[in-house]
Amino acid sequence: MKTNDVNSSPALAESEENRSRLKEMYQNWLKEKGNKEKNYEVPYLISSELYHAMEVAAYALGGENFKVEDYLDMILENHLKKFGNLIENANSNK
Amino acid sequence: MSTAVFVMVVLLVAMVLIDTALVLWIHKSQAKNIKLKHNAPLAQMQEYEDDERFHIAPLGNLDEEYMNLFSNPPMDKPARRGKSAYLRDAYHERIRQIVNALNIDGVNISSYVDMVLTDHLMRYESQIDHLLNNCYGKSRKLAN
Repeated sequence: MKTNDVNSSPALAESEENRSRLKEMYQNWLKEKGNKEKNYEVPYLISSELYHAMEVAAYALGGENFKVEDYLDMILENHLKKFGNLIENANSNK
Repeated sequence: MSTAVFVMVVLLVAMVLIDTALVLWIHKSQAKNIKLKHNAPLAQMQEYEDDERFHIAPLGNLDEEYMNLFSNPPMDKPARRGKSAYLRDAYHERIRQIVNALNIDGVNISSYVDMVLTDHLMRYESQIDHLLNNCYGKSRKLAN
């Protein structure tokens, strides 16, 4: 009798999908912004715990050359691309 | 003599009244800004998700995925304990516009960015762990 294949579980599939999405996000950021001048001008205060988590994650994703600011930039870029117009649209539909 | 006693009693009563008013004002201002003062690691934040204080009323037609962003509690971070990071002026301005459009009590640029970062780290937690394991695996191989 065939048992449930662990490798075909939806959670694992989602995990794989997320992993490739994260890498794709990083590759896209690297292609678009990696070699360009980074104008990080506005200071933002971040809690030590969150900063540390970001630091570790940035290292895991892009190695030592990928700094917290770069990771922050990548996350915000994706967030704004995805949801940037959503709020204005929702407000105008009210 | 009796006048001096009378003045002292009046001063005493005035001081008690001022003190009471001050305590009431502090309580009121604290109740206005219900914020969780914590710097808990991401894993410990789960327990706050069911806290009614962090539930925000639906914002019209906003996407469900977007609304999930607000299910994470805002991180209140005392300035002295925080670290400085820098972001692009354009993104800062865009987020300022979004925060203004959202107009949610307690959500400012700082807490908004915190929520976005927290959401990202929680969403990709297992993938980041996996990448980290790979990093350390490589380091160990190089060390050997």
